[in-house]
Amino acid sequence: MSNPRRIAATGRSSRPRYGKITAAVSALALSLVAACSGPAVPSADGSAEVPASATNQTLTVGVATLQQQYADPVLANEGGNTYPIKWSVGEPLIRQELDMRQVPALATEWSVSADDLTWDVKLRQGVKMHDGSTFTAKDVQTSINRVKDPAFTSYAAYVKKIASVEIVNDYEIKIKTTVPYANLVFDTPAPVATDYYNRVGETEFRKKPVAAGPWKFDSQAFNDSMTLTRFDDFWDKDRIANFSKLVLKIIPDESSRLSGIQTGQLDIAQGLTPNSAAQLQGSPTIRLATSKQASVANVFFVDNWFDADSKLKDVNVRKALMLAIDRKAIADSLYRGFGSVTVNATLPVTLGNDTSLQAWPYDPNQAKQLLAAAGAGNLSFTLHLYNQTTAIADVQKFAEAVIGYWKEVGVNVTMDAMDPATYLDKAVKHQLTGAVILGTPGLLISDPEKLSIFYTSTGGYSSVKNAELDGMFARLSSTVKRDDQAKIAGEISRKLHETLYGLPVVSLDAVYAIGPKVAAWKLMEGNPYPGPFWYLDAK
Amino acid sequence: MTRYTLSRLLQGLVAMWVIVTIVFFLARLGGDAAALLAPADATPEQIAAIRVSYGFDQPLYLQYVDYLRGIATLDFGQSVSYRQPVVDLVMPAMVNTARLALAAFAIALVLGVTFGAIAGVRAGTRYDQAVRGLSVLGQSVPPFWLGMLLVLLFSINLGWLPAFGSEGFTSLILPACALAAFPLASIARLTRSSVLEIVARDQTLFERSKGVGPATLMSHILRNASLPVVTLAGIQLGAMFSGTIVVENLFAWPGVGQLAIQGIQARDFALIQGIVVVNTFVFVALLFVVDLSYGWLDPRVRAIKTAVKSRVEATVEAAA
Amino acid sequence: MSSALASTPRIRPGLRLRRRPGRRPWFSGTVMAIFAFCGLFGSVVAPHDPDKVNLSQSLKPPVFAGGTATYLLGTDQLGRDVLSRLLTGAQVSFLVAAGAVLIGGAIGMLVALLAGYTGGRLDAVLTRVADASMAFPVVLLAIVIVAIYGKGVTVVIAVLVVAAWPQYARVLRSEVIRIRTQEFVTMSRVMGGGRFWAITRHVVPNTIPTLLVLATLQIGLAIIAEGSLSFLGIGVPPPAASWGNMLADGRNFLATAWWLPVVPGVALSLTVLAANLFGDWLRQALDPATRR
Repeated sequence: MSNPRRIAATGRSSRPRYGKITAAVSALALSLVAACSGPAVPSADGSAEVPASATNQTLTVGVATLQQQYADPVLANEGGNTYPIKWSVGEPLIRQELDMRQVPALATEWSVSADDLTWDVKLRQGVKMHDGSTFTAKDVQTSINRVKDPAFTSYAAYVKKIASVEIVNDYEIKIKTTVPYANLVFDTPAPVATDYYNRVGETEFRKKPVAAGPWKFDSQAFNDSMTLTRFDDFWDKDRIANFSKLVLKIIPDESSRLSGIQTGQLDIAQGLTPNSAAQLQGSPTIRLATSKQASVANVFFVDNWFDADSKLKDVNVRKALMLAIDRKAIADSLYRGFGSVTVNATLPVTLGNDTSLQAWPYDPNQAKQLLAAAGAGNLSFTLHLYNQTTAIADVQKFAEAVIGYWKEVGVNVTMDAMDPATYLDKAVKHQLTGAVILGTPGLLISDPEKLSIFYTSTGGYSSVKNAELDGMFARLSSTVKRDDQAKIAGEISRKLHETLYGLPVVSLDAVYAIGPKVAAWKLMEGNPYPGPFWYLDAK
Repeated sequence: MTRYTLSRLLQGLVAMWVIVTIVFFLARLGGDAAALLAPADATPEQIAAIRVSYGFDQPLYLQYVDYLRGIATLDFGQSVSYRQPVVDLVMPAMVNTARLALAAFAIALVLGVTFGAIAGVRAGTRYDQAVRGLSVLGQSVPPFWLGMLLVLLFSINLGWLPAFGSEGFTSLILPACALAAFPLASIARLTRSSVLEIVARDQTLFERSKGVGPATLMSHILRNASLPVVTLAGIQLGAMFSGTIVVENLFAWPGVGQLAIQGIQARDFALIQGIVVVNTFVFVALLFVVDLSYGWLDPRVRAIKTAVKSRVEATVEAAA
Repeated sequence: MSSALASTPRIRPGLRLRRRPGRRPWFSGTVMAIFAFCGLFGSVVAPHDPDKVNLSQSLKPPVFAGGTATYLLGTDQLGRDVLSRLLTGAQVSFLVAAGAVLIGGAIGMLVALLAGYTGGRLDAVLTRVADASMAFPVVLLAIVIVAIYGKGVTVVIAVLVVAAWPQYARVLRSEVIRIRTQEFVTMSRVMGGGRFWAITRHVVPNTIPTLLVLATLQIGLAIIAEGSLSFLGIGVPPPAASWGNMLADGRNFLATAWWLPVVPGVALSLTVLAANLFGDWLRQALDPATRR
């Protein structure tokens, strides 16, 4: 067991320093001792140099959850919290770079036929899989065939659009779709080692997968940890780490992740709320890193999906509710600056985002006037939310703050915090009325088409029935050319800004605490989930 | 004795059946896992298809009959969220929980009996007062609060022990202590009062006057005082198995409690039921062992079992 | 603390407090009285609106740690007054404790009377049901109920009642059996008193002391349990304050705003301590055998 303070102290003095002790003595005579920062020690921040091979060959990352903890990178597509494995063990045809742009990975070139239905994909040569076999078109086909099993629920929509897969040669594959499918290559599951898969079968493969990612799956202890080892033959040398073992440790309680980084048991702590991260500010050995605009905290007025009358169907009422919230105060105070006021439901990186749009201001007086004019002086409704969402830090406090501001303009809102399963089930079945809180990960909404989940009448979490929006999204999804997509996406972003069916209240950064053994780590923008563990090096 | 054992076994089975049945229907009232298994951009038709593929569309009574049939053959089914057999998930978790619960129990029993016995023999002294004060205190501090204080002191400030984890002996100490405080206090209090009672009896005075050594005397006292303590200890150990959730959560201990929370959040019915069955089994088995140990500890009990038992239990409840 | 609680003869019905000069429960009595007062009138005496969000005033320290007199115990991360939340939170904790103790005690008493007085098969069945309930994983049950029906004070009370009633039932049952067989009850029956008369006039009053002692001790358990449920995120739902959820919310602030976890933690532990001490005192005061 190592103590970060001991490690840090080697620079100046040979004796461990203990934090000044501030004590609050309870009547129980139990003294609470909290560590405060001591005298300055050489900061971990200053050391930019990354050794070719690290002294510390193991890094441990404390994550809040890995959801179902699938080892298999293809199965691990069940929502963002399984992505750390998808991104580490698997290597897709196209991946997202740290700035959320899509860049070639195992595919080098791709093109679509004139009818937008046949994709021709050229594959990278000389790529090794984890078992030493050479990557070919067969591995792509195996993976696609595999997800046709309905057990791969997250690929159900993908499989439905696939007409056929045809291997042209070892490094070229043709995929035919039933409808135009702009994201086909990006959505294709990560290739798996065909011979290995055929030899061990489905069940064994899930336990011990072989793919082509920068990390090999080593072992896992359920609800405890997942251990990965570096894949030395990974094709992309830039993403090979300088240490050999990466342990993803599952620690559900935030305060325990916080103590883990303080005791040195963890080298990286994920999923910290800004308020607890603040405890580490001023620590000589621990620094904070953020993934910018990881997600947007939204309030959706789901009454717009129903036929029944509701004051929330009045655009001026929705506007008033937006003007009533001091979003800057929420970003600066509740989120301690690890957040910012959003302009629109689309982010600056979203394709076709209209940069000329202005953020709605904080203007409680105008909000009151608008509400009075709309005859909504004594408006009241329920705000539903679910606890423990990765996409919004401190979601409960966020809801309480928003409700507090609405109360100031005379709107009485009841808060209903639910368990995730109940909430998601009810949201999908349209059993919630009033308003709901949902976080939209930057990764997701960097693709404007994904906004259809919330803004088209048949979307999974639809909050509105609006023929005009439905039409725009239908046109967007059948468009394959990027320029045309951008044009339609621009229209959508303006429409969303003016209709305010959902309020993009604040955008939030994901906060990580990083310990002294980490030399450098570049984080992906717009990602509220742990990872990806590329460009991560130890000292 | 055989008849007694059989009837206890039968009662245990009935209790397990009742509890599993309650959980089976209770869990299904809140909707199924289909929406959770589906991706965010799934259409209602896709969700319906998932529902069919997992059999969630079957009538409840059919699902129930299927499940009972499975349990009878020790087949707990497949976890829908983890896509693994339930047994493979529950058993390792149960081993971890047992490790934690037994460690905490050992601390509580050894320290509780020691402190309680000494306090009982030296009733009225400063030592006795200290034990009584600390044991009331031990019952007044919530386990998660105690756990946080222990981490703050021993992990963050002193750096002696890990703040969480389940590897090795050192990581066991803090969670076991946090879990042990409450039963330790209860056991200490009950031991003290039982010992007091025994000491007050004439027999002990008589033995002392005959010049029996203090060690022999103490063992006599303890043996006589052990009945209520054993009952309480059994109940506390059983309670620990289901009470570890809070401590497991705080110390990231991969036990049954954490698995249960995840199972419930994922509406993983088979997993929840599997956990409940195993949990109930452990509790029923423990009570059974406690019952058997009465006879071993005190042969008189066999004859007057029921009479003593109800008295002992009443005492235990009052003290717990 | 002694088996005498359940087995010493008690001849006259009703409460009989034994005087123990110089050992009055000043501390625990006072704390319990304050708790009861706050539990009943907490929101009336609260200086501020406990739910009023004011982000510009967030995380202000208590007055004795450099804060101002406006917020005597400081403010939380949303700028809400901690003292006001503590006072209104006391109402929730009080409601939970009182609800769990009263309902659990009532069910336990009813079962004990039915089982202990009628005996026979009904007794056997009820005793087994109580045993089985003790085997029920209560925290699991709480998580399931909350997952399905959502959070609420009612759910917390219900869960605590499920956990507590068998304990009352078991202890009170043996009391009922003991009292039933005593001379004055038999006499009353012989003299033509009805069964109902015997139960209401003799048996119930004689179990009251035991019930009181048990109930006092259960208050502490209920308060701790509410805290534990809140820690797991299944306790009393926000924005309503309860000591448990204040403590759970405050646990990430130990180093930056220690008053957030410490204030409710101290209030909670003090109250539980007082309840336990008071229960101990009551047990001894009601039990002649411990007067030595």
